[in-house]
Amino acid sequence: MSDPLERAAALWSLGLQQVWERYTAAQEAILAQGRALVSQTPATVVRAEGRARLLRYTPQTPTPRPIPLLCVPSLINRHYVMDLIPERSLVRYLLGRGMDVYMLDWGTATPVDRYRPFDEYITGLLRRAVAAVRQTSGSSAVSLLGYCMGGLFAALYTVLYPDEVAALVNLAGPVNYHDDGIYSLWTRPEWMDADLYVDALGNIPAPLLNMTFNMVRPTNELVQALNYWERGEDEGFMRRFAAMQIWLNDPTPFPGEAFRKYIKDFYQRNLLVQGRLEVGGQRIDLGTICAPTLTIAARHDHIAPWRSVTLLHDLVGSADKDVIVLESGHIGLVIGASAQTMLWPHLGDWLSARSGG
Amino acid sequence: MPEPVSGALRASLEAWEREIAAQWDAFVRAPGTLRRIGGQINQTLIAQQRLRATLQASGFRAAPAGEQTARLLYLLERLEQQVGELATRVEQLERRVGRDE
Repeated sequence: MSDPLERAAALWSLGLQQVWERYTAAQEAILAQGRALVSQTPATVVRAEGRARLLRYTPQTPTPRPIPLLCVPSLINRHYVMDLIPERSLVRYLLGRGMDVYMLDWGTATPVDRYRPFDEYITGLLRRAVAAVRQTSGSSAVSLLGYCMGGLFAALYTVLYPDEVAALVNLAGPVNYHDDGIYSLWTRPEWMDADLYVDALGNIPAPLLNMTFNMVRPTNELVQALNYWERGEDEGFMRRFAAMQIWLNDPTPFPGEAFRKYIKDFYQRNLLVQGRLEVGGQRIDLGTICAPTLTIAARHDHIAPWRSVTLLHDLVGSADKDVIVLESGHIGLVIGASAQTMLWPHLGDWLSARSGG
Repeated sequence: MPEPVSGALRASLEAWEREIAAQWDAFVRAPGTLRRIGGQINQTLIAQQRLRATLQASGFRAAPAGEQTARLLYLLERLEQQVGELATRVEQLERRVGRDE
C-alpha cells in the first residue's frame, strides 16, 4: 500500500468521503454565516475615492493617542483580515490600547482600475488617504502599518514622504523578491509573460489569483475538512472558521497595470533591493528611511518568506528599529490563536511608545 | 461526531498529506512543469487575443468599446481628482490673500 493513490482510496473509505461531503455541503451555509461575522468594529468612512474608502474606527478611549495609525492592506486581499471577528481583530486590540486607528480599504478593482499605474496607488491614493488622516486627526505625521503588499507600500511611502511618517510597521511585506518562495519561482520571466497577462486579461481576475493561492498546497484543504468535521459543534471554532472561509474566498482582481509593474520590477527584476526601483519618478533607497521601523515576519510564511521580509530591517537607516520573527504562517501571524499572545501585545507596546500621549 | 472517523483518520491523513504536499511542491517547482504550464497559459492568452481581434474585425465591437470607456472613465477620475486638488489649493491661496489684505 505504498502507492499514494491507493492510500488515498483507503483514506476515502476510512471516512474521508463522509468528512469531505459534509464539508462541501456546508460551504454555502458557512459563507452566509461568515458574511455577518466579519469586519464588525464600528467605523466611519472619512474619505472615498473611486473604489477605495478610508475608514476611521471609533476610538475606545476618550482621548486616543495623538499620532494616528493608518493600516494599509494588500491590494488583492480584503482589509478586514485585520478586523476579522471581534475576538480575532488586530484593529480592535489596538483601539483598546488607546490608538486612533484608520484603515485604507482599496475596494474591488473594476475595469476602470486596469489603467491605474502601480505608482499611483502610493503617490495618489495612499498619499491622499494619509493627508485625510492628518487633517482629521490634526497630527502632522501618521504611523503606517502595512500588511503583506501593504507593508511594501508603506515602506515605499516612507521613502517618498518621510516627513509624513511617524513610524513604520511592516507586517509580512516582502522587500526581496528573489528567494526560495514559490511565487518567486512561478513569476520568472522564463515562463511568465506579465505583459501578455495584462494585455489579454486587463485586470487579473480574482478567481485566477485564488487558484494560484490554492495551488501552493491543494491537499491542505482535506485537513481543513477534517478540522471542520471534528470541531463542527464548537461554536467559537465555527465562527472563526466561517470568517476565514469568507476572507479566503473574497479576493479582489489585481489591477492590470499595477500587476504589470509588480511582477516585472519586483518579482522578475528585483529592483527594490538593488536600489534601482523608481516610484513616482523618484529612485527608492530604503536606506533613507529614518522613521522608527518595526519589521515582523512569520517563519512559516510561504507567500512572503521571512528572510525576504526581515531584509527591510537590515536596509533601513533608522536608529530606532526592531525585528521579530514569529512561529506562524502568513495569515496566522495576524489572526491565528498565537497572534493574540505573540504579535498583538508586542505591536501594541511598540506603537504605544511611539504614538505620543 | 461519528467516532470511527476522527481518531484513526487524522494521523493517517496528516501523514499522507505531508508526503503528497512534498511531492506536489517538487512537481510545481520543476522547471519542466513550469515551462509546460507557462507555455500552455501563454498559448491560451494569445488565442484569446486573436479571437478578440477576429471578432473586432468582424464587427463585434462590444469588448473594445468597453475597454475604451473604462480607460476614459479612469482618465476622468484622475481629472476630477486633479481639479479637486486644484480647487483646494485655490481656496487656500484665496484665504491667504484675504488674510494678507
